[in-house]
Amino acid sequence: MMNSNGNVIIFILIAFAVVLLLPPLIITVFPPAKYLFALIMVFILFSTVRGYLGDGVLTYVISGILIYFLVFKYLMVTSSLWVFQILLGVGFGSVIMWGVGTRFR
Amino acid sequence: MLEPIMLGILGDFYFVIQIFVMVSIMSFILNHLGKGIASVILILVMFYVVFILIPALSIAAFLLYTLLMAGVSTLFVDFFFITAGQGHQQQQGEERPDVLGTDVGERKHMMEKAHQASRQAAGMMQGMMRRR
Repeated sequence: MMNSNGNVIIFILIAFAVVLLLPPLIITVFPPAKYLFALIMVFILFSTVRGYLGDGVLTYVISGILIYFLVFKYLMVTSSLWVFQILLGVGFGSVIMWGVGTRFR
Repeated sequence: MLEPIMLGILGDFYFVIQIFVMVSIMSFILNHLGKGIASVILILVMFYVVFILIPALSIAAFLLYTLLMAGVSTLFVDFFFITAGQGHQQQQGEERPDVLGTDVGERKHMMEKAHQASRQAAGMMQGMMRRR
């Protein structure tokens, strides 16, 4: 994975690390953003589980377990992964690949 | 020092992914079989497979499926075929299309030089005519 212009993998890893560090940075600079991220996570988790299983007791139980782990215990990790997922969804992966491609020119 | 913390985090996420695997399997079974005794039995069997029999393989398969669904395969195509193809073209010495207008700039520069040369020649001719 090396070429004459440098190690490509390093550029990919740096781009990914910058993206993953965005939410912790936002929360550190602006602490109330934590509650915003938590609220969004709760909505996303509940709607995901409800989409899979429909309305019912099981949906509330599984959502509760997931919300405990992903929102209350590891909010930073989850919010980072969420931002990463959004960026992948809007085509950020292609931008990274384009950036990597410029190193070959 | 960090090992127990990392193991705790990994263990928790392992459990969370197992739950996601189980939820997607349950959704699949309920959609195909409806709410009946067969689906309950199948869900229990899959619960045993995912949580006890082969948890690691189930998680690996689920993660691979999720990544493929998220479009990671297109990134690999971009990286290994399109980007690699560009590099190969340039290695073979093929010219890239000029998108910066350098050829137009060069032509303009050459025209200016030609104008300057013709003016100089005209000046020399006039000088020679005056001498006569």
